[in-house]
Amino acid sequence: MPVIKINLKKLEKLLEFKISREKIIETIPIIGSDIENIEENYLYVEFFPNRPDLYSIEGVARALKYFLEIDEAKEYKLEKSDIKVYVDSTVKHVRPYIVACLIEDVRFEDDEDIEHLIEFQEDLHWALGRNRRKVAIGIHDYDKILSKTFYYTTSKHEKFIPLNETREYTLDEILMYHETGKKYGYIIKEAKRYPVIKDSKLRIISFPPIINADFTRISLDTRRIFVEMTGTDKYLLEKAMNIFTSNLIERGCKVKSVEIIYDKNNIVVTPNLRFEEFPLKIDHVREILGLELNIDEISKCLKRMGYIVEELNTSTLKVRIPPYRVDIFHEIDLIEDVAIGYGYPNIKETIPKVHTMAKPDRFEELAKRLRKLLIGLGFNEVLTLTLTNREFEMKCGINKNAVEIQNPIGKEYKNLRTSIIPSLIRFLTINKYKELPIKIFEIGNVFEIVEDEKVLERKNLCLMIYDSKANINDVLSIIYVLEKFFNVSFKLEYTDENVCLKNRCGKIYYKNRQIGIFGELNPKILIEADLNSPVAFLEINLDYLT
Amino acid sequence: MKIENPIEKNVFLALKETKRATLDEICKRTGLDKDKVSRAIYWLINKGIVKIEEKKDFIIRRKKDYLPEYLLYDYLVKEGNKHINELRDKFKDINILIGWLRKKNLIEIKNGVVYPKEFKETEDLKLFNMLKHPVRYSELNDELKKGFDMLKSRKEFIEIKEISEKYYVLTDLGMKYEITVEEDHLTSLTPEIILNLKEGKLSYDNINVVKAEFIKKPVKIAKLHPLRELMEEIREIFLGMGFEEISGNVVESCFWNFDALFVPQDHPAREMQDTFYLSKPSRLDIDEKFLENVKKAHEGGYYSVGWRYKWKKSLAEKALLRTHTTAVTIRYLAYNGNKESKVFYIGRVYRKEKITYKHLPEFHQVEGIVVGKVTFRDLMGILKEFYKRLGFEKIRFRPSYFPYTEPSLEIEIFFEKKGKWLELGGAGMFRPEVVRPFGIEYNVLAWGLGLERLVMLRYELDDIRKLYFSDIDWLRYI
Repeated sequence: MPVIKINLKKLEKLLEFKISREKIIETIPIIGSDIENIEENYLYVEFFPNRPDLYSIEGVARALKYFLEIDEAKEYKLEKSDIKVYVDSTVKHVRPYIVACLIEDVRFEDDEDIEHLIEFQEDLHWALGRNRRKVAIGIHDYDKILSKTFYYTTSKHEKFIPLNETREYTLDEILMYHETGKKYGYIIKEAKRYPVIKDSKLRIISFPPIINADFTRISLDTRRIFVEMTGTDKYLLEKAMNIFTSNLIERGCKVKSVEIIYDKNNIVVTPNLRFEEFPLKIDHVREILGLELNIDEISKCLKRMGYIVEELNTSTLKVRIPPYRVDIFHEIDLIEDVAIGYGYPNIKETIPKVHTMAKPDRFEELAKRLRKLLIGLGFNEVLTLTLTNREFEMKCGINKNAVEIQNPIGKEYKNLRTSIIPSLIRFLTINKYKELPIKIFEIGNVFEIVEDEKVLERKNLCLMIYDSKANINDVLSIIYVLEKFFNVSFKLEYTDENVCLKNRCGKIYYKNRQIGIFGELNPKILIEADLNSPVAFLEINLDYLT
Repeated sequence: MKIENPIEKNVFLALKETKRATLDEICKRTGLDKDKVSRAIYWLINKGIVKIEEKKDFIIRRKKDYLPEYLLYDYLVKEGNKHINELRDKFKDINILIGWLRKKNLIEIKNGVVYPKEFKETEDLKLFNMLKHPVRYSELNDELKKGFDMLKSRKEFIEIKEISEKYYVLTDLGMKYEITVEEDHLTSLTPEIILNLKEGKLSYDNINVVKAEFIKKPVKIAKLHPLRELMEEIREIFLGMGFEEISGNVVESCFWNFDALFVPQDHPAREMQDTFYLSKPSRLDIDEKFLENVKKAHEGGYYSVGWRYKWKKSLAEKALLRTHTTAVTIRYLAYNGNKESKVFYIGRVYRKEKITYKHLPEFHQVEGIVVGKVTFRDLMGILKEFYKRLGFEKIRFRPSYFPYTEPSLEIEIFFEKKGKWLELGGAGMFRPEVVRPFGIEYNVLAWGLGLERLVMLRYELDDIRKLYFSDIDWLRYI
């Protein structure tokens, strides 16, 4: 999640009202954020991905003004510009949509303002644009273009000087050699022709979603900005544009709309900056929150959260949602904002009246008693990872069909374990210089693929005794104890599986089903695991004993 | 310094009596075998009570049965005086023999005639006669030692072998050391004493036991894993509040891990860099009866605008390792339907994280759910109670965001040890888009937290790996 750097001096200026820093620092988390760090003049705040409108200082100032009741939300005024963007039908196959606007009365005080704007742009790319796939934003110094017409079209072979470069590149060269080209090129690589935006002189001003031209670059002298956003999701483009422009309005800029001409019959004016209506039932608010709020109190809470609220009737509010909000799907989202507007610290807790009987899980209860027993026998409980690799299991003489991860963190952790034995061997290797005997156990999950690609998740107990005198008799005694514990009798049979030392190992059968293996580890495995003393072990499946 | 071991005690006493003894001698004296005595000596040396002295000695053996000068003497005694020239024919090396006999004052010579004198057993003869068996020089008395001095040059008749031998002697400390009356007593009770007491052969006043020394020697402790302790504690808390414990599986479909929770199909958390997807098995079946409703929630329905896209079943079928325990609780809710209930689940979850001091690809979460006519205030109330039972009296809430809960909140607890507020868990009410598709009309409260973080706070651990790649001593003694 993005961490926004807030210059407190600039924030105070935007608030237009003297508010103490303590109050600001106290209020920001209550609106919904996590303050990561506080410095003398800066706050570093993490806002949630459902509120990208708070990803710039202007948005934070606006939210604070409403929450602290310094100001109330009102409709945005929007003037028209005479700029037109003509959309070529060839873009349909690459990035079909574009929105644009002109922003006037821009005033950057210092380089930090420009940096902040660019970071805001990048955070929107992350939160709404899915890293430029769905939305890519380009901002240009309009006075360096001075064009009334723009063309959103496609091209393949043209050249231009990309941002911060000194020579011309072809579009393919940018994808191949330029840093951002390499990073975002995958989004359009498959296309036969690439999207470009040109001005009336047919100069390329932008190669979305990769890079702008160098000549339209923003500077401290910039007074007018031409904003274009292209992408694949019309709704998100409109939202991104609304957020971007409404936040700039907060710092005194004027926004002028642009006509987007797809064809004669399809002309869109952007941005729209419209407040959408949503009805809210008072009863629903009370029912969800458990707060006995009246209609006035609810509308006050909503106003503190930036909504324009009207009473539709005694039981319903007409809530007008600011154009920069992207997170209102359902009435429930407004109800949460009522709670935030009311202030979480002001809500008095109640205890739910749902009367139910406690019921522990059968296996967990059994495992709990079994752990007690093993601790009584001097075994330490250990926990190990269930991620392992099959090669290591095979080295340990275990060869079962394992669940396999498509995108593992490394070869060592490519599979889910089919047995706990390798896990405990690894544990012993880590602890081989410790005082002996080491007696350990783990009750945990093992996973195996059985017929039809079905995954069987089982609960096993595995225990090991690592000592110069460890031998099969130690675990035979444990089997005796387990028989008493489960009140069953096991049938034991000799086995010569690879994991074992021959003549010193057996399988455990319960009701004619093999449920376990025990004995002394094969010395080859001990050498492989760099262990110098013998290991007596037992692994038993608990599912049939529960 | 104390001699407590009975064998050491015996060896000590043997040395005290003999002053100096070889290993064999001590064995003989104490009746103990060599192994035991050697070990006891080793410890006594370590304690500074015994030291080793190396002594040189000679073993003397005779090579012939007689000394030749006595053959001459016997002849003279039998035959009477003889002139030396007469004897020269009969005896080899006559001059040497006469020399020995004169030395021993057994003959007299006048004008070449040898007269025997009265017999007297000299020291060297005494020694020589003793040498039927080999003898050690150190064992000889002064008289015999004189004999040895006389004999030692006569290499034809005796053999002298020099040996060096280890003796054990008491050090100055050892000389002063007394096995006190007290130490001669019992270290503690024995069944015999109890029997003797019972039978009246011994009275309590006559029992002298050694005063115990207060040394706390560590023993290996078998214990539950610290994470398990916490899990059991949390189980007790939930059970104490009337919750039912449910179970679930690790290998899960995207459907239950994400789609059922209204997480959009292009959400960043679903990307390969955050979630473990499986290649074996690569997909899992989804219960047909839930498909349509969940699709509807995503595409717009249940009074929600939805995600404005076409929901794809194929993406929901992908198999993964569950990334949160909510995959288990939502499954429970789906099958349990619109019934009042309180359930909880504790289990492992998996995230694609490299193994570092901060992160592991698997860890534990706990999750609690309340279904019923419940409210956001109730959520805060039950959280307060739950965290109080976990030992956190000071708790506060602030707004948060999860794709599947609304309203949502973050729990912060005041951690006394660090003197600051820490984030410890998230909570909320399941969104209508999450519960309505499964026919649940009740409100659903949900909260969860990661267990490793809490354990690390409790034990002041700064490396999460310690929990899964543990030092056995840490587990034993923590």
